This record gives sequence, structure tokens and C-alpha cells, in this order.
Amino acid sequence: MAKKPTYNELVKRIKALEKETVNRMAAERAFRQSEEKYRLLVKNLPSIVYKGYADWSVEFFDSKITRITGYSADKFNSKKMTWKDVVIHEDLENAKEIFIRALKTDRSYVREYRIESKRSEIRWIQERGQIVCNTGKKIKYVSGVFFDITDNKLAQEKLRKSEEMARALLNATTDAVVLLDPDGIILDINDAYAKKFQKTPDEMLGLCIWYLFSHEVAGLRMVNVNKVFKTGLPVRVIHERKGVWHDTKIYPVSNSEGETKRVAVFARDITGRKLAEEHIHTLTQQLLSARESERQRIARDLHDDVAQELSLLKISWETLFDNYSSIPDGIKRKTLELSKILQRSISAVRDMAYDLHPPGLYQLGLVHTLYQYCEEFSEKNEIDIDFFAAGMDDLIIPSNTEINLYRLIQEGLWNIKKHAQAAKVTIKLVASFPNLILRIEDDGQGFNVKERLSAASKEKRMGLRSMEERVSLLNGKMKIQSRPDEGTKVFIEVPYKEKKHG
Amino acid sequence: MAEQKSIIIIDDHPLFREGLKTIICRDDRFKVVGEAGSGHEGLEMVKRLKPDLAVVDISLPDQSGIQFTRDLRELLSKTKILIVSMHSKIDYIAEAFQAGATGYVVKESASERLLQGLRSVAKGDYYLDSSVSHSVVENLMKSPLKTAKITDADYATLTPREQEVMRFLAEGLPSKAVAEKLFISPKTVENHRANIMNKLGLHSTIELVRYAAKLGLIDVDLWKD
Repeated sequence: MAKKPTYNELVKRIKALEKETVNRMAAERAFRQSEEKYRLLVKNLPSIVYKGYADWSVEFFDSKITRITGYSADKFNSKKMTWKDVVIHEDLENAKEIFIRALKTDRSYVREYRIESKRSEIRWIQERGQIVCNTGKKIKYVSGVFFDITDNKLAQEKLRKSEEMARALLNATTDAVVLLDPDGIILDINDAYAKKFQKTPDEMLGLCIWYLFSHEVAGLRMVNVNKVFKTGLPVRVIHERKGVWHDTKIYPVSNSEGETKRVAVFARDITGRKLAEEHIHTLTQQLLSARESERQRIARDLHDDVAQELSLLKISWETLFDNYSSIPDGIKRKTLELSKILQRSISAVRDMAYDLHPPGLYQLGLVHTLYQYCEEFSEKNEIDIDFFAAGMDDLIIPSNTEINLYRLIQEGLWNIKKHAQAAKVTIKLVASFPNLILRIEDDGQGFNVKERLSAASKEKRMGLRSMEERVSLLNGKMKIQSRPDEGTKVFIEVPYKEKKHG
Repeated sequence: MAEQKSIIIIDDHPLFREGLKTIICRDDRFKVVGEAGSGHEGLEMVKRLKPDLAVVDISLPDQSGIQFTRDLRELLSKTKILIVSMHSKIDYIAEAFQAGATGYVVKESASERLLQGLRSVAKGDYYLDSSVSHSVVENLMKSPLKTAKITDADYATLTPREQEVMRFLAEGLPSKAVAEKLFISPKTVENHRANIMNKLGLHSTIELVRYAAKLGLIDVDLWKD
């Protein structure tokens, strides 16, 4: 029989028990706390923790599932509903496949699918799960989390659509488009550009564009791209290489801080347009020179043939009766009258010829011919013309340039006569190697240059346009300035070839 | 009766020659001794006949009447030449007289003028058809004033390079920039500048700018569009 404990022993035991109780209570409290922490954690997680079973039934540990599905956790926990009931039918097959694949591998999986809530809302779910099996390799349960990724998905979808749109737009244009960072790394590129290198856009991403060109080309282009990075202002370059013309625009793409960290390059092949332009120029040139030679021919025919024949007629007519002794006075008078008519006709024909083509260009040279033309124009139209030339002696000017300069002054003066109501015109023609400068200035009523130019092309009034065309044919430039009531200044500069001496 | 003056006619139109001949025959002081249709033929005839007068069309099929006039003057300085011409411009007239003709008549003139012309030329005077002399005199009257305006002799003495430099300087470019533009040294630009100033008689940049504006090299009174 056991010995009765002593008082001291009892005290000791009670103390031990007390201690044990305290310990246990502490442990219990700790456990409770940790469980609370866990619940709090699960509850506050943006994800929904679940435990699932092979029959698609699920258990939830809080009520968050209600927010997504509209069904209470109890509905699932009591197995009145399974997870399969909410998953959209079409997405089920794919979800199953992913699960089976996981089962065969490391038993963890991530799958995304849509569910339909009680209120028939479609939501995107991302599920991350771990399959737990028993020793017989049978599924014991699955533990995992659901994430509501609907917002994400929508944003992604939106992004994808806008990217698709952007890409479709980029690829719809025949322009070559590329997006570059300051080092020339290709951030984005469209089909048209990639095609230039016989590659797909994907193959080009991340490459440094400068390595794709020859040194020389890369250098030239780098200068322009760097200019855009530096200034933040767009640059436009039209350049030709091996017969191919490109119109390239480089735009800065600024970030939210307004810094240019990327540039977009749009290169348009304008070879066709250039060729057409050249063609038009050639045609216009041919047209103008054809008209010129036509005028020259008509002038010559008028002067050398018609006027000549008329004077022949006149002299024959005047001498017709020379061998007859007695001519009635009436016939004598008539002969004289007709003679005068013939004389007037001859003068008229000759003036026409002179108007059509300046006869002096060959013999007298440009300056003298122009001077004379101005004199005559001034007299005929009562406009005071000052003609002033400098440095024009001994210049060899191509005859094409000569006749066109003559025509430019002619057309300029006609315009002034027609529209300007000017009292005074100053014409200056001065050689400034290697160009000729022509200024035609009047003190007339002036006009709006832009309006006039566009109106001129609409109304087929060719005055200014034809002058512009002539100037561009001579590879020169023309500038028109005009001020209402003050007058108009036409500035023309065209190259000539060389000087005779030195 | 005084001795008849011998005349040859050089014109490629037989009918016109015929007409001329008929008119000339109205004055019995003249006698047409030969006709030719080209310059070449004309010269041969002149050599042979040594006429007192030649009536020459300004445009012949093989050469210009002007050239024929020169050739004839060289051959026979005594033969007087009257040009008959379709042209009424002073330039042709001036050229004809410079070549050695002493008379000029336009073809459509009244026949009496031709005879007048021949009489004057035969006497050793100059004759200019009154239908053109009017404009010639007018031209002569104003040319001293205007020809001064046509060209600026000083500027014409600049070399091409000096013209280039002058324009840049007038446009306000500093020498260094001009040097860069023309790929020459600033010192060379300074030399050019000195030469330009010297040739044009200028003493300051302001004068140079003013001069350039007067010529039309630059426009100092630029309007803004």
C-alpha cells in the first residue's frame, strides 16, 4: 500500500499540477492565438483557401467565396453544391486536363477558367492547387487557393485588343515602323520594316538596329535619331539610296515625366511618287521647251515667210503699173491705199513674231534683250520699269536658262499689268556665282500669296504657277512676298554653269 | 546726162529682186547691172562688176547680209551698201551700220524711200528709213542715261569667288562662317573681303551691305509673311 503523502509532498504535487495547468493554458492560448492568426490570415488574403475532393466537392474556411460566386460557403461545405456546378462548361475540359497532368507529375497545378455566379456574372478564376494522395496513390484531397483574376483578365484582354489594334494598324500601313530606345534597341517593329531584313517582327525585337545597316548608313541615321532624343522634337528626312527614296519621320515618344526615352521611326517608300514627280517635271520641261521651239518656229515662219511674202506682194503691187504710160488717177490712188494696208499688215505680222520670240537673245544677249523688252513694255503699258543688271557680262548662260529667265520676266510683268495696278516696277538681275538672282518688285496693290497660289491652280490661272514651274525646271528657287497696298516682291535664284574667264 | 551709178541686187527672191529693179529703174541715174540670189554668188559678181552700189537683203540663204556686207567692204571699199531688211529692231540696224552699210531700209517701206536711200548712199551720206529712224533716235536719246543703269562695271570685275564671298558677307555671315561654307581659311576670306572693298570702292561693312542691296544680291527690307 502506498504511503500517504506528506504535506510537503502534496504541496509539491499541487504546485506541479498548477504549473502544468498554467503551461497547458498557455499552450492552449498560444494555439488559439495561432489559429486565430491563421483564420485572420486566410480571411484577409485576397485569395480563397479551399480544400477539394475528387468528386469536385469543396470546403471553404471563410465566407469570401460568397463575394465571388454569390453562394454561401455552407452551400459548398455541406456538399449541396460542388465546384463543378459553377465552372463554365466550355472551360471544364481544359481544367480537367491540367489536373490530370499534375496528377501524373508533381501534383501541383495552376489553372485558369471562368465561373458563373449566382447572378449569372462571369468571373475569371485562377486556381493554384496541390494534390495530396494517400499511400495507395489515390487522391485524398486537394488544397489550394482561388484567385479572382477577372479584373486582371479584362485589363489584359483590353491591352491585348489595343495592342492587336496597334499592331494591326502598324501592319496595315505600308510604312516601315520601328520603335527604338536610346541605344537603338528595337522595342517594337512592324511587318513592313522586318520584311526589309527578310525577318519577322519577333526575330527583330531586342536587336540593335545600328548593326543592321552599313557603317555609313547607320551613322547618318543615328545622327537624326539622336537629334530627336536630344531635342524631343520630331525630325523629317527625305533621302535617296540606291535609287530608293524614303520619307522618314522620327517622332519622340515621351514617358509620363515628359522625357524622350523612345523614338518611333516611320519610313515611307516614296520612290514611286518621286519617279512620278520626276516624270511630271520632265514632261513639263519638255512641254515648255516644245512650246518654246514652237513659238520660235511660228515666229520665224511669220517673220521670214509671211512678212517676206507680204513685202514681196507689196513691192510687186507697187511696181505693177510701172511699164504702163497712162494710169487713171483712181487706180493710182487705189494702189497707194492698198500699199498702205499691206505695209500695216507687214508691221503687224512682224510685231507678232517679235512678241512670240525675242529675236535678240542670240545676237544681243540676255541683258540687252531684256532691257529692250522692259522698255517696250514700259511704253506700251505706262508702267515705269527700272531694269538693272550687274555682273552679267561674259557669262555663259545655258540657252534654256536664258529663254526661261526672259519668260519669267515677261510673265512677271504680265502678272503685274493684269493684277497689281502698279506704277513702278524694279527688275534686278545680278550674277552671284554660281547663281543668278532675279528680283521683280512692284509698288502695286499686293495680294495674299497663299490664297492666290491655291486659287491659281483651281482656276487654272497659270501666272504664278507657271513661273514656279519654270524656276523649278531650272533647279532654282522662287519666293514671293506681298503686302496689301505696298506691293509684291518676287525673288528668283537659279544656277548657271560657269564663267568664261576665271 | 550724168554718169549712171551701177547697182547690183542681192536677194534670194526673184520676184522681190524684180520689184526692186523696177523701182530703181524709175530713177535713170541708176542702172541695175546684176542680180544675185546668194551671198556667194553676190561676191563673185561684185568682184567682176565692181558696182557703185549694192542693195543687200539682210537675210540671205547662205549667210547673213551683215556678214556679206563685211566681206564686201573688205573686197571693195568703194562700193556703197544699202541694206534691205525685214527687221525693224535697232540692234539689227546698229549691226548693219557697224558692218559697213551706209543705208538701211525696211522692206515694207514705200518704194520712194528706197530711191531716197539709194540717192543718199550714192552721194556718200548715211540713210536710215524714217519708219525706223524715229525709234532709233528715241533710243539714242535715252541710252546714255539707261545704259549706265544696265550694268555695274565695278561689280563685273569681281571673280566668281569674290561674288560668293560678297554675298555671304552681305547676308551678315562672319568671316569664320564664310570660310567654313566655302572650305577656305578665314584669312583667305579676309583677303577676298579686302579685294572686294577695294574693287567696289567701299570702306565699311555697312557700305557693303548697302551696295549689295542696291544690286539686288540681298533684300534688306524683308517683309515677314
